Amino acid sequence: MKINFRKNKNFFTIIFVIVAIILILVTYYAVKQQQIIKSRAAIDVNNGTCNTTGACLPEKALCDPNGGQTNCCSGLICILNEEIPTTLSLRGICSPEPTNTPVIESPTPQTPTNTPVPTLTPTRTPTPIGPTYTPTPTSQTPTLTPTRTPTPTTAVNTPTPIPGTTNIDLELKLSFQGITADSPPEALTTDVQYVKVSIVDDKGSYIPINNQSIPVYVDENRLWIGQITINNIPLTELNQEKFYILIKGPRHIQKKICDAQPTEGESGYYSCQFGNIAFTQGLNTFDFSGIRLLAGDLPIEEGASQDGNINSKDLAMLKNLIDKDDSLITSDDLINADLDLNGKIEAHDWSLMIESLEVKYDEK
Amino acid sequence: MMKNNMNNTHPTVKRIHWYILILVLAFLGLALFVFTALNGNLTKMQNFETIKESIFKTKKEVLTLKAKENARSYSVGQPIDISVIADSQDQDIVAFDMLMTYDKESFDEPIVKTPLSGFSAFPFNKDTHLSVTAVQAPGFKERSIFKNTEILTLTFTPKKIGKYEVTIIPKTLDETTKLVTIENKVIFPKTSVITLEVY
Repeated sequence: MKINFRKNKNFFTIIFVIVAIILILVTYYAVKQQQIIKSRAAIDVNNGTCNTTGACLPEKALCDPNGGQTNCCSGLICILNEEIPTTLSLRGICSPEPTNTPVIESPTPQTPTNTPVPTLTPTRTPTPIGPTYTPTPTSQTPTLTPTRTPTPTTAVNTPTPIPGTTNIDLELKLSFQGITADSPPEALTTDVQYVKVSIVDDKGSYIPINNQSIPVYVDENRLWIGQITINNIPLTELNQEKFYILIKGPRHIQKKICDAQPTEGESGYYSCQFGNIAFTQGLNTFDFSGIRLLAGDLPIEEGASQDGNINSKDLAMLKNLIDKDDSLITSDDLINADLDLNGKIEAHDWSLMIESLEVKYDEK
Repeated sequence: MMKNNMNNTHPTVKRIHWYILILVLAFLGLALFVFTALNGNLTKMQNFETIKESIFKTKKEVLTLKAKENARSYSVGQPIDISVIADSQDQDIVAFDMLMTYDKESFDEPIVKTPLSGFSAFPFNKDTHLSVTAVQAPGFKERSIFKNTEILTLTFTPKKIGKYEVTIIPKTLDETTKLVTIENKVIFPKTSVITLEVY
């Protein structure tokens, strides 16, 4: 069949137009398909999934704060959200970039003048020390380093109390479950522990304390002694109010103590309701060694705070450490889970924790 | 003869033939394109679904409640055994916490046991809820992967007539229902509820 191009000019024009229309339709279709895929991805992003098509993540979408899929849309950044379970890989949320940085004034440092603050190094090596160590809590510079350096808030004391108020010093003597004069038979791996102290009055109001975390030092009887200064307590309150004290050890559940010299029948079972402790100006000495602070609320991760009860995380951690080869136990493991401070994580620590499950929760 | 016939075909008919040919070719081309495009997109969507599934994998771990007797209603004073069935999605669990609410005025405090080998359960009855912590003893090396596994048995004894819900709750102010793996990984499973009718 011979085609005469000149004669069929109209014919080829029509073909050209048809092909062009088809090409336009095809291109339109392809673009439309891509848009559909992107919009579906964006919708699912809002439902908590991630971006797979290169479309940017909208506000409130999940993203990875440590890199990877962090392609939040312009003007958004990926911010870690602690409420998202750690089991999820995407723990950030695309949030608007902060427009201005708030100016935080750093507090004027106060220089303590009377009570020396021991200088402590944050890395503890579990080198055993002799059980006959006699501490002098207020003046010593401990050679052994503490379990973990707490985050200090401000200086411990204020030299001059505000008129109408006074400063008081509390000296506390404590006893920890599993650490007694003859148990463990080995030397202790540290002579200092940090405890958190809160003081609450009759009305349930917490007395402000500059530094709640105080060091307590072990004596020859394996009792632990520490001091805390409370500034600017109103004199009227001091004379009229009764208080109770909350004490939480580094691997322990919080104990509420209402009496100046409490005792208990069964170890760890002291319990009280209303504060019956009176303070006087100057030094107040309280011997709380008649009751035991129960162990079991472990600081699970480095720097993490305890969660206020003994639960499956604490038990799983201790079980997994006991099952771990001794040569693989690190100093951090000992800091977190060596409840009797004997340098080993073993059955005795387990039995202490199981015993504490009878109480289980921080007392408040 | 044939050639003559072709050459003698009316020009309009010839043109229609051409149109048909071009349309067929265009249709084939379009079909090919659509097929290719859809295939690519399907692959993308499949990848997307896979990623979505992996992100939400944790939500597949479940704790469900099931009455052992499988009865619909129970009489006052008749012990009711309720099983907690777990699926850990192939993860080796060494400890778990389960928080449960029930009508404390209508039931006695439940007896809690675990049928899991090597595990001990420690119930703690708070004012607002029951908290059960269970853990595998140290030295017990047997893997504990839950696949529709009964992990707890709770025996409730009803005191009053009525319709009651026993619920595994995901969290309270300071506690969560969770499974902890041998790598100390924490999993928050889906929780469930069961309704009991006491007559």
